[in-house]
Amino acid sequence: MIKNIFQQSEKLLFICVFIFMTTLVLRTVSLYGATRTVGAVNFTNHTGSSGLQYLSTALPESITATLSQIKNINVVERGQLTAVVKEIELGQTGLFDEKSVKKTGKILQADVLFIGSYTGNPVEVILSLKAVDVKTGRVLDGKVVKAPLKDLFDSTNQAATSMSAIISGAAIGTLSITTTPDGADIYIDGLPVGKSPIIETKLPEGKHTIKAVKSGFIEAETTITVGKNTRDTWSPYLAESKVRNRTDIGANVYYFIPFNENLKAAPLYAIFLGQSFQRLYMGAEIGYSRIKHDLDISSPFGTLTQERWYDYFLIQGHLTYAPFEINSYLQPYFGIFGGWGYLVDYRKSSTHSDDEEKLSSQHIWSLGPKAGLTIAPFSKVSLFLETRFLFTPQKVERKVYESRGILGGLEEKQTVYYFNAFSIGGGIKLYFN
Amino acid sequence: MKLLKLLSVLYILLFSVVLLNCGGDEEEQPKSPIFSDVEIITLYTPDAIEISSADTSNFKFTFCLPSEVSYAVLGIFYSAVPIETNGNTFTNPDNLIAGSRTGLTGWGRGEVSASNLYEFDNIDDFNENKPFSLSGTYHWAVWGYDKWGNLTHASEQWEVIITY
Repeated sequence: MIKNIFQQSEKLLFICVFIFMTTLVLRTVSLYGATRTVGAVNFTNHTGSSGLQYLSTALPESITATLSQIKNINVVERGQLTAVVKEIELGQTGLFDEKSVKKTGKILQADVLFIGSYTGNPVEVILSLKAVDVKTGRVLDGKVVKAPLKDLFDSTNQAATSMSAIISGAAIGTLSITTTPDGADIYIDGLPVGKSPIIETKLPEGKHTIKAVKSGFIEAETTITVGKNTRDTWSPYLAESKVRNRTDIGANVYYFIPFNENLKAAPLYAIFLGQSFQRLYMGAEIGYSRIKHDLDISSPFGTLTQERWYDYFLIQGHLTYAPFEINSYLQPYFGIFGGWGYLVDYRKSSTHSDDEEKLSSQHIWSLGPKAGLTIAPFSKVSLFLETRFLFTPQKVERKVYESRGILGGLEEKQTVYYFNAFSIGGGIKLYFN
Repeated sequence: MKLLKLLSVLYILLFSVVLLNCGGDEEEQPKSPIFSDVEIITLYTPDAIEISSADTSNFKFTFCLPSEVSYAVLGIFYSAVPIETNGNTFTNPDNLIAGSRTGLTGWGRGEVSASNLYEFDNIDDFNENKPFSLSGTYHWAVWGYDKWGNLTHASEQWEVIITY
């Protein structure tokens, strides 16, 4: 009896899980649309020029490559078309009828066929592009692309991409994009769709990331939620980017914070000379810091503090990149630096006339990452804030002294440690151009 | 005749030199500081080698500490072996028997009473709880440190004999 109940419960649980999983799958399919298979037959050349004949195969090849990146779309390998092209002769006449489209679609096992013809000359090629539903023979969407030969492939792929929303069978809305100034490259979900203005491009229902990029201007990006049958617009103003090649000199001061507890934080002063190449910047810097590392010595006379310091001279090369501007007044950047330094260890002394005794000196190499923010980067004078992590591959020597009590002078011992440090600071830049 | 006169003069000169040298050996104390590469600390008293034990309660070790000396030590050593150093430390620290230093009771800058001496703790300091009474033959010296603890000054070592 109990066994029977247990078996009944097991069956019930299985049915519940099955129903849940089925619901989940159906919901996913309804949200994203069913996958459609797309093929592209050879396009018809109406230019009269045999030199442009290659476009009849090259353009469909390019379209299928582009569409293969889009979700919910499968593409038919162009190699399979060779078998059917002769039979239906779409490639020769550019004409199609419902019967031949259905036949081709059946052979290719495709839901949608891309059919196209082109005319014009290398200065301006005019391509007529259609997406035809194989089952019904109905033209789902059509575009006319006008572009010089050099831009033809980009423009065609953009047109095919914008047609993909309808092809995929998902619920769609439209989005119009205008930019000031126009002519910006528009990317939707990372794919190029053409230059602005773009009027009522069709997009599947859901969230889409739109980006406008124009050389010499600060790019704009947004996320838009497209609803079923909605009409959205996006009209960003692209601020002029003033990034250009410039030469500069400047000075900075950093608060140098060593990680080793024996070393005290100290200001580090530097001057530099640099050159920017658009967003890339190369510079050379010379700097100096006096870093205290006083030594406490326990003795019969009490704790005696020996005044100690390093004089740190450095020459470094810097390479940074400013990927974007937050606005015209703030420009973040990141980069690396590395170079040579010279570290001289001193202590206060009563037996030397200049009151300081040089204990040792050593060369020290350093490198590390840095990041910062330039304030008013396009002005004649700009300020910047920066943080750095300085890493020294080799250890630094430090003489320490221990008391022998009343039995003579101090005992000298050599210790070593890494000179790694974090620094934060800022400076001023003066541009020559 | 001339040769005889010349020999007489040489003899007199030679005798005078020998006589002078012998007289100097008897009373002279060492003139170099106990440590090398340091400035000198001048010792004043007791400059006489022999002192009666009856006088020890009254006599003081006196010396001159330059202003750069922040901390100083007066050390009393067994006299059997003179104080020996190498660099800035003693090579025979076992011979240090007593003394005083800056900070201990009875220490004065430039003078320490014989009644304010303390035994060495055989580690690195004097034991203020163990007063020391002079009786016998000793070497004594003073050495000094700058404010950062560096050994910068030292005196020569003098011998003193406390007789009953």
